Amino acid sequence: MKTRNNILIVIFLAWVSAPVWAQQVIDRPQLYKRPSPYERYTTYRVSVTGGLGLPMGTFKDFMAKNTLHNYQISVDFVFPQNNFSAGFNVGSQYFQHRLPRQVYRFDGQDVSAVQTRALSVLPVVVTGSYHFTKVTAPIRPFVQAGIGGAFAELANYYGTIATGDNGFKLVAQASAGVRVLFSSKGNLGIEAAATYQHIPFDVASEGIKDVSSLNARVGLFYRWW
Amino acid sequence: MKKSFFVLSKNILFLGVLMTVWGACTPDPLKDLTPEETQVFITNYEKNTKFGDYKTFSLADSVFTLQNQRSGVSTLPLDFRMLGSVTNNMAKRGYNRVSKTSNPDLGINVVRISETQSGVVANYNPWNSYWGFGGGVGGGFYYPPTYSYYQTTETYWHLEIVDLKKAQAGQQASIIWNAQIRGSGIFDESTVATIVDNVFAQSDYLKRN
Repeated sequence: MKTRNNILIVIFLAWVSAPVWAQQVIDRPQLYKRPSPYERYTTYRVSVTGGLGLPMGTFKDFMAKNTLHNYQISVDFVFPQNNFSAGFNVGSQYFQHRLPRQVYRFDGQDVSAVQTRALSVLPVVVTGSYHFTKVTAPIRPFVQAGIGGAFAELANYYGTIATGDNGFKLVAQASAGVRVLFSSKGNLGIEAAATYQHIPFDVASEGIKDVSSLNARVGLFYRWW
Repeated sequence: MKKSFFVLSKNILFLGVLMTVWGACTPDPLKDLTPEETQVFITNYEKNTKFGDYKTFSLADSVFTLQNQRSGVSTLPLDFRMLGSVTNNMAKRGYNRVSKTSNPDLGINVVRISETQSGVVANYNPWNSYWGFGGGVGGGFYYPPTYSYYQTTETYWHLEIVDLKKAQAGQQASIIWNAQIRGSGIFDESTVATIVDNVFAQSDYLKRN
């Protein structure tokens, strides 16, 4: 009899406390706070940017004009935990400046011509980035360093007569910028960055040691996993 | 195996096409150049020459023409216009024109050069690195950069002043001044006088004291 009562009490208590157990199961917080895929996997990011290019260094003496022909496509592998990313970018920059007719005096030679000065650079650069906020943050300021090569062509046309040089040159880049997602869980966002690009390029006839430039670019980026 | 090779080669092809398209984004720097802007006047002079020491000059009454290995003379209205402009400019600088037989100090040649080049070039470095004008006709001229199989013809004016005063018997007289006039529209009768004026204007040292 006593044991029967005990069993009844246990059944009663189980019946009463059952909803409480159920609630504990539903409330288990770790089920709903699993890390985002961006924190779990190495993910991908592509960005397309364009903007202003300013001649720097000895190149500034040769090229008096800025350019808006300054584009870059970059691809990044974004690491989940350590705020780093690694990738590469391909760029296209073109500077041009036409000088009105004047007489250029050389040693024992005078040349009257309309000069057209042009530089085109196609850099391919391997980059590493450090971000100041976590991979899930909607705003991610970053710094970046890159090294690579570029096909560079520097020309100074006297009329249509070409002088100058071209070749495959070393490229070193240092950048700082920010990426802002349009929505905090979204894939698309806006990117703005400034890059100092150093390219050693010795053209003795123009007194140039480098064709460096400061690039300010704005564009869109897309991330996915 | 065969399939993966196909996919790989397709990818490389795609990459190649992509880079070509990317590279083709570079604009042509000379496409908006007017004919007048293409004109280049190059003058060379012998630095130790005192141009004030000379008094007279002689000029042929026709223009010499050089076309690759062939040479001749030409007496088109354009040529007379050219010779007239050179004579006027020399007179303005204080030199007297005399006949060839009366011992002129300076001899002037006006030459129209037409050169045709053909061949094949590897296009990694299409630029001729520096100025290549030497003295004298036919040597060291610059040819515009071209790719693969090419044939170009460039025709230009070449003027030269020869020092007959110091020339010794049996020796070639030295050239103390020359000019090249290159570009579009330089064989236009209406503009040739202005062009010659420009050539002399940039040679301000060329005058009798």
